[in-house]
Parts: sequence; C-alpha cells; structure tokens
Amino acid sequence: MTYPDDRVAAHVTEHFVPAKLLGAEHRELSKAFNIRWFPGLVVAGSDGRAAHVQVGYLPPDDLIAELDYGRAIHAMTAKNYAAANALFDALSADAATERGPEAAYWWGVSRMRETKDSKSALDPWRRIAQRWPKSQWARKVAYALK
Amino acid sequence: MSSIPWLDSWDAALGTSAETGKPVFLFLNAVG
Repeated sequence: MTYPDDRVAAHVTEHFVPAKLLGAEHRELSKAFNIRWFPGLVVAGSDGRAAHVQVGYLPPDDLIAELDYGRAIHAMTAKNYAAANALFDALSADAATERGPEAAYWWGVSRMRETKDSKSALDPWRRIAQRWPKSQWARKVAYALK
Repeated sequence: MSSIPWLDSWDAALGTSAETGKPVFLFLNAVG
C-alpha cells in the first residue's frame, strides 16, 4: 500500500499541495489530463498545467521518484533551474530508476534553457549514453554526442 | 502513521499552489 507509507506521506505533505478527487465527479480533469485509467496521478502548477501525468499504483520508491520528476519539470517550467537541475541530477544518479534517462534528458534541456548554451546539455546527456545506452533517450541525444 | 492532508477541491488546490509555490499533486481515483 503506497499512500499509508510514512515516507510518501511526508514527501507529499512537504513538497506538494495534495488534492484527492473522484474521477467520476471530475470528468473534465480526466479529459484535460488525458487520464484513461485510475488512479490518475498528476503534478501540476498553479495555472493547472500538468508537469507530469501517471496512472496506476506504484510502490513507495517509484512513486517518490515520479513525484520528484514532476517537481523537476514544474521547477524548470518556472525557470527555477537550480531546483530543477538538482532534482534531475538526483533522479538520474541511480541507474535503477526507470525515469532516470528521461530525467537526464530534461536535465540537459534545463541546463540549455538556463545557460542558452547547447553545450551545457552534454554532461547530462553523456550520462544517458553511459548508463542507458540501449534506451530511446540515448538514441535521442546521440546526434549531440558525436 | 502519517496522513496526507488531501484537499477535495481542484480550485482550492490551485489557489493554495499559487500562494505557496508548491505544485499540486492530484490523485484522481475511481472510488472514494
């Protein structure tokens, strides 16, 4: 059971404004966030724009990683690059994290947005090539690493 | 056991997010 987990509860309470709603009573939200199965998990900004959407129950460690990924995208969108980069770095530090290569990809994007220098993406993207060489993310960044 | 202080209003969640700067975590469930 994920949500009774103390670490998840502490993480959600510290870093998010939590809202729990019934899909049947809020079909407009299911539609807006393209949720086709329950539970739908959405990290969104105060403007209602989604930073990350997931479905299904996850074990605590996976859920915390997904939530941190949403926080990172949210922070990058808000141009809070220091927070975004730290989260992306941490998420991609563990090769076992399934969101890791995607986090490293966006870490590169975040650094490019921050510095306006495309070369600043290379260190995060090299991490993808090293740790997840067979992933789609490695193929996406291969052009930049030649 | 810790408990999560869930809000039951989307608009309230967006308002609190604007005040605090924290993102919303929406849990959209099939059953209550």
